[in-house]
Order: sequence, then structure tokens, then C-alpha cells
Amino acid sequence: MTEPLALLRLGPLPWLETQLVYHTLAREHLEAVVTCSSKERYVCVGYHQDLAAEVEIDYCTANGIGLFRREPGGGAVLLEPAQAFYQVIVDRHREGLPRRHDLLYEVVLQPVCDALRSFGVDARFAPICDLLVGERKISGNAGGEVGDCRVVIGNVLLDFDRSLMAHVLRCPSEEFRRRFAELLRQQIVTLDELCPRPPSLRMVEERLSQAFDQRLGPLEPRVWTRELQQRLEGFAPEYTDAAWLLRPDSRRGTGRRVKVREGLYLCQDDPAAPERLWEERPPVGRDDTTRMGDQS
Amino acid sequence: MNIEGYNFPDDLYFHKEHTWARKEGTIIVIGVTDYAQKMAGTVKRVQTLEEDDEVEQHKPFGTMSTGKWTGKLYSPVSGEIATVNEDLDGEPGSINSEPYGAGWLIKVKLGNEGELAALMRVGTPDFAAWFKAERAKHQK
Repeated sequence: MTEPLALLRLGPLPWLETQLVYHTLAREHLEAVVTCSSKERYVCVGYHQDLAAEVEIDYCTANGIGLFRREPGGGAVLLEPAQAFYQVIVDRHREGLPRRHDLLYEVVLQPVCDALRSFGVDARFAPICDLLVGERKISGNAGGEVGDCRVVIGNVLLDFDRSLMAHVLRCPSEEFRRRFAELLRQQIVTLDELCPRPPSLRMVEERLSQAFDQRLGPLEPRVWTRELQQRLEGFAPEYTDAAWLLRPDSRRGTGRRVKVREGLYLCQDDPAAPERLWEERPPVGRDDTTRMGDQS
Repeated sequence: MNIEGYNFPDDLYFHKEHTWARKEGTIIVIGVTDYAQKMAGTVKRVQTLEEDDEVEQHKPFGTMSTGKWTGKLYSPVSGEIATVNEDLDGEPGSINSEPYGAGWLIKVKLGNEGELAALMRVGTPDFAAWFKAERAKHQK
């Protein structure tokens, strides 16, 4: 018999804590489902990414946009207050969950589909880990191993500043940036745009909690204790250290390949020739072009 | 030996976390199994500890990213890293195409030969039981 997962409904948090919460739980080996949101906007890159190659650091710094490198994989994302976060932390060998990460995503993201459908939004899972409405993305997800746990993290977009996203990600030319923003407008959709009466963050968090309880539960509601907060603060220096944040990627190339959604990339191979810009649509699972700085 | 379409060479030692070890004198070559690379999918990034760093048996010595997942690599033996496969920095795809050849990850100066006895060999009951259990977990 496996122990029930804890449910931590944390609501709005300082931006850094939205990342440190699940790192702390995983490293303390505490299995849980967390729902929360960020009080501030920030940019978060995946474990193997090169922040300087992916993100306009100066722009972010000048505009008070925080920067973070997470342990799970995936690409650079702009995280904002109008996004509902969910984080699932389970033991690496927890019974009842698929070992293959592509299957784990499918199981863990089903509750998010349920929650979206409860608002009348016809969301569906799209491998490897996207949630789409029609062909447009409404949720971003990533995962990996932290401590002795597997972690799946993601968000539901209530609103999304596509223009800001195009400014915080490093683009080799202004034409690239313009096309990227255009693709984001075409390929991403939000709850505010889909629902005649858009739900509040609190309501989305409520539905997510209910859906996770039904699919992965019953969950045990818990509170974030002072002890956990102290542990979080103990881990903070490690994750905010400049050497961790700015760790370079030996594979950095001269070109640029930015992911718009699963199966769609905007590419440019020569910064001096902005007209040589193209969209790439590799089959899912075959998006392994490596000649350029990859953001997937 | 080919087991259900997965290659497990007879001369290697296997760790339950899907890494392998090959003894070459006092050096142990380490990589991930054919089974692991097939389950994981296309490898996009790999990062390990560096030369002269110490690795510990059963403990992580690196990470591997495939698609949108970053997983850990567990060392089958303890010792000091003698060489890191720097070719993987630019072309980690050889982990998929040649997991027991060009896709090797690190070479370690073996600290305790007795640790090899704790690893599995193809054709033993331990290996068969482990493989059966892993197949069951991955097919859920």
C-alpha cells in the first residue's frame, strides 16, 4: 500500500519560492501535489540550458524580472502571476505510476485536462507533455529527477504576455523576435480568451486540486510548516548562486532554435542573415536537431 | 545477448539503475544500457562530473536530458574519474546509436574491485528477475 500524496495549496507566493517549494519537497523526499502561483513575473530555464544563450539577461535585470535555473528539464519560460502552477513530486519508484517519463506525463497531466474541461475548455494531452485546445497550447510542462524523487511541473495560462515572452528570450534578430511573437499569438491560448466568464486563479487552483485528488488521490491536505520554510531557505543559496544560474552549455552554437510549442520551432542559422529564418516542424519525439542552441 | 529486442553484452556488469560497467585493466568504462536509451528516447544533453572527481557506487554522477525530462545517471562503481567522453558534448546521439561503444560516458579508476560483485551479469537469475520487473514497470 503506497502512502497518500500530500496536497499543499499554497496560493500566491514570492516568485523564487514557487520554484524552491518543489525542489525542497523532492530533496526532503516528501511526496506531494502542490498548487500555487507567483506574485511576480520571472524567467525560468531548464537544467541543461545556457541562460546567457537563451535569455536577454540585461533586459530582464532592467525590468525587474527574476531569473532561475530549475533541476527539471525543458526550455526557457516566462512565468507570470496570471498562471496557475501545479507540481507533482513522487518517489522515483512509487508504485502505480509509469516508469517511462512520457507515460508519466500522460498520467499526471490528465487531471489538468479534467480541470480545464470543468471550465468548458476542450483540452487534450499532446505528447510529450503539452496540453492543447484545438492546436493551441494552454499549458507548459517539464519534468525530471530531483533528489530521490521524480517531479512534474506545469502551469495553466489564465493570461499570457506574448510580447514580453518575445522580449525576454534571446533572439538573433529583430525579425526573428517579430516572427516569434507572431507565432506565440497564433499558437498559444489562455483561459481568459476561451471563457466567456474567465475563472479566477483561486478557482483554477481549486479545480486543479479536486482533479488531482480524483486521479492521484485521495490526497492528504497539509500546510506549509515553519520547518519546511526553514528547509526551503536552507536550499535557496544553492539555487540562487551565480555559478548555478549562469552555468554555460558546452554545446552552444552560432544559430538559434526556439520552441513555440511541441513540434514547432522558429530557427535561424546565421545572425548576419535575418532573412534566413524558418519554421521547423519535426515529428513529435524526433525534435532532435542539435546544430543550434536548442530551447526545447 | 539480445533479450526482447534489447542488447545486453555478455562481458559487461549491469547496475539496476540501467548503467553498465566494462573492466579494462584498472579502468572501468561506464555508460547507459541499450534498454535505458530506448526507454528514454532521443538524448539531447548529457552532463557528468569531471575528471579527478570521485564517484560513488549507487550514487548519481551526472544527468541526461531526453525530450522534456532530465534524469540522473547512477554509478555502478566507486572511484576517481579518469576520462570524460567529451565527444558527447556536441553529439550525444551516440548514446542512442552506440550505447556500448562511442556512447560511453566516463572512465573511472576502480577503487574497490569487490564492488563489481554487487553488479549483475547477463544470464544470471538476478539479472532475469530484474529485467522482468523492469519490463513490468515500463509497460504499465
